[in-house]
Amino acid sequence: MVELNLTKGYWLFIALYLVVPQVSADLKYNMPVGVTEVSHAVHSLHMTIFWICVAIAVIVFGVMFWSIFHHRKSRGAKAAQFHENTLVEIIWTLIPLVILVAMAVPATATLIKMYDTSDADVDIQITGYQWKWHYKYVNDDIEFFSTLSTPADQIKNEAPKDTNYLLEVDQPLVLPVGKKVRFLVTSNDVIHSWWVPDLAVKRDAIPGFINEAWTKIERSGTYRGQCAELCGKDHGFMPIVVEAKSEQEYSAWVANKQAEKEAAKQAAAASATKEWSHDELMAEGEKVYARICAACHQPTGMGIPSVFPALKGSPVATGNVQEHINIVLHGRPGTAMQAFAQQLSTTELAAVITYERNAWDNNTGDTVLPQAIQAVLDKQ
Amino acid sequence: MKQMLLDWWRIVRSVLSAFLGVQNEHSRQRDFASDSPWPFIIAGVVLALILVIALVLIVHVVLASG
Repeated sequence: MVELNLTKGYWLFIALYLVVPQVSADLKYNMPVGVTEVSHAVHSLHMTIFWICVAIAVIVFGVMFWSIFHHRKSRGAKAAQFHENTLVEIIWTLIPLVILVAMAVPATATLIKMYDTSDADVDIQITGYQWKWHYKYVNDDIEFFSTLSTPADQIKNEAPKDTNYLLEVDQPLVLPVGKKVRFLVTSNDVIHSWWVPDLAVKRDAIPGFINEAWTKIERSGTYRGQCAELCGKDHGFMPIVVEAKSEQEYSAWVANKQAEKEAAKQAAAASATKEWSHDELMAEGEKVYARICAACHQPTGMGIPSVFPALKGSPVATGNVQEHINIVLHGRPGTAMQAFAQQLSTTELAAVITYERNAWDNNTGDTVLPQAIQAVLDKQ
Repeated sequence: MKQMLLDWWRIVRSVLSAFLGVQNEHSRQRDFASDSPWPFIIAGVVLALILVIALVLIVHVVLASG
């Protein structure tokens, strides 16, 4: 009778083992298999340990429920009264020890693989900001910020949400397929964490520290991730998008990016001599404000009381122009106000400061020209 | 001499049982009847050091081969 039950349980277990992996591959609840050697290793390690846990649960609970059922009081079972059994105690201590050591072997192998950042083809410095990511291609002299591009009306439930709601950015991180890419992860303000499940990369971004990680993507495609360390108000609004391209496409992208940079330099030089009208600056400034400043100071300019100061009627936005320029360029140390001198062009800076000084009934009538910003930058 | 070795072997066994967390009542009674706790403390510290050194060596070997 007992033997029959155990055999049945065994076959049920085998059947589950055969069926569930196929099903689990399609279920969105499981860890993704991913597109790198490390992500495959992590997934198979995860499944191995999951099945070890399932086997332990089946055996332990099986024995427990069987014992409860077969030795129930109504059958006249009498409880055995004894205090210790050293042999049994040693066995149930040694078996978990052996299981843990056995699990440590594949886990260690995977960890060693994950931490081997040597011999990388491409180095990328990733810096977390509140609330966006900055990517710097160390070998190719390219750098840019990657910010959320989900429109505000979707966030406010005024428009239907896209499939990639809160998982889309203006400029994705572009990586070559089949090349070893090393990430140097750090932060500008608070602790963030750069996490892309399909690459099995999740590394804390800590101010003052550089953490290393690496990946070698096997298939081209778009892979999305998020900040995985609670970093403040817009923690959920700084997604990561990785675009893996073939080697030729990647080289073309790098060349294009470098040409863009050169063009931007020339445009900046042109804009520095261009005669900007007040209205042109206001229009440009409104766009920059919505993209960069509104996250904290809010589209209404009202800020968030006791967290982010209002700009509407504020002493900074309606007071001394030089002081206003100074704060936008260099930030306010010890607060969430970042230094934007390196993040925005002189035209964008001039436009946004002009906008802030005239929007929301601030009406100072001031026009700040790109030349004025350049003058401040030149003085340093 | 032989008695002393036997005593030390008993102490080491008791300390190893403590590492594992399992000891029988008989040995516990016998250990607590000892005159001094010092042999147990010394054996405990020495074995803990050996454990740490062994772990460090294992890590070195694993990293060197990986």
